[in-house]
Amino acid sequence: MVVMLILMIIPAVNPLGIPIPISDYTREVYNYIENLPSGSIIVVANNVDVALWPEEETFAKALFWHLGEGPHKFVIVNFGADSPLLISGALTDINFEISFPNKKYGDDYVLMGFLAGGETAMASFATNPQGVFEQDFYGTPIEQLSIMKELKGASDIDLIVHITGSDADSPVRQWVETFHIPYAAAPTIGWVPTYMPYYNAGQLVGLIAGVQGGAEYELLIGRPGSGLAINDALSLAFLFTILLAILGNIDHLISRLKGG
Amino acid sequence: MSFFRRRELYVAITFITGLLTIFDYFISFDALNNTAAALRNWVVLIAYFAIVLGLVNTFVFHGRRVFRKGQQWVYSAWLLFVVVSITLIGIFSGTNHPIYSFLFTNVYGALGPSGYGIMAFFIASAAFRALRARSFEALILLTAVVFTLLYRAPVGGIMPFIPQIGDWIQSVPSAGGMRGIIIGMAIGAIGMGLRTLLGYERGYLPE
Repeated sequence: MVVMLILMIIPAVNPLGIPIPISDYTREVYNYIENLPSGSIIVVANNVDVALWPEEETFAKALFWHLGEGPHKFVIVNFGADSPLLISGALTDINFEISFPNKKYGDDYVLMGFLAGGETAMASFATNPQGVFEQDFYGTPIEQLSIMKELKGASDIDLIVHITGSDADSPVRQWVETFHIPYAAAPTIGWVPTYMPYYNAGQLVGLIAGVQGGAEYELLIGRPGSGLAINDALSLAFLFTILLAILGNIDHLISRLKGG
Repeated sequence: MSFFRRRELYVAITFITGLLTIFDYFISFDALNNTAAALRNWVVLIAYFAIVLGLVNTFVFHGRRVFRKGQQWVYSAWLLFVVVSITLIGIFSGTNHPIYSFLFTNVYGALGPSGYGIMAFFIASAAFRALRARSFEALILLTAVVFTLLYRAPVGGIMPFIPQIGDWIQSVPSAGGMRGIIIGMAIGAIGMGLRTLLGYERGYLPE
């Protein structure tokens, strides 16, 4: 296990630069955002908790870089109790206010608080985005946020990017099928197979597969970062696990040949 | 029996609110749609209260254990201390306060993922001890695991044939199987929903 630990630490200290091919479903999310008209409103929905945040953080930061550089507006809505602070931390980590002085808080982007209720909260938000919030995460009344005045209903949402640990069904039911809002999902890697039926059916505009998708998105926006180092560690850890499986079977074979 | 303890009252409420929500999806009628929207907002409020209820239950359960010096009461006392401290800091200083941010990011934010991180070592250990081809089925499982790990490893993307085969497996048999599960779950949910609306499911009713 020490070997596993060393293999994961090495890339963190000194990234190996293992090349990462960019998957089609990651590129589709990037292209969709790029092709949206200027001034489009993108909702970044989050219900990821602290335990899964390291897997989603890479894409979240890359997405905020992309949205900061682009001509779009975005509203961050949180369906998980941990999400507001995690997202606030991500914006602080990339110095969003300083990096993008042309983006004015309240006019071009806003961070809303935690909306409890799971799927019902998703439906409530899509029905009446202004009605479910009285203030943003920092306590500013919603009347003072001009971007929220533009968001009267589902038809004003040009794309929802959902950063989530799991939960494939609820957003498709409440956002895609009920209100026909374009929807891109960013689940953890383990949940990608659950999203594939929806992706194959055309209900998703694209898919970001956990930290791997985050690293791909970093490459697409031209800002390689921590995602690539994490992917190096992932590659080494996975290869080591395969090696252990092979060694275990060799050990088993030797035992059988010895008559054990 | 008191009117408010009659089961029929709660079944009727469930039936009416369920129908309202279902019809809201199919019918565009202002009074109906506004009523359904209000009901959804009430659920959001109830969810907030449920969080508080969970906190109260935590206090009752662990408080009882501390008071009676039950099994591992020290951990319960520590839990209550942490919950009270962080709650008071959040209420009086705000969640943007440096102390709250420090505790959230450097304590909770570090400990939370650590539990998942430990899994990596368990999986590595299991790969050596458990993934042994003792039978044909075990060999198939081993092949699937090795192939999935290679496909999901970023380095697998540059290996010959792995991405193409992996994409096909993910898009065709895996997606097909998952689709079957999703449809099955949806049909089950419809059945359970109908039973609840018609009053056959009574788990939520008062005794």
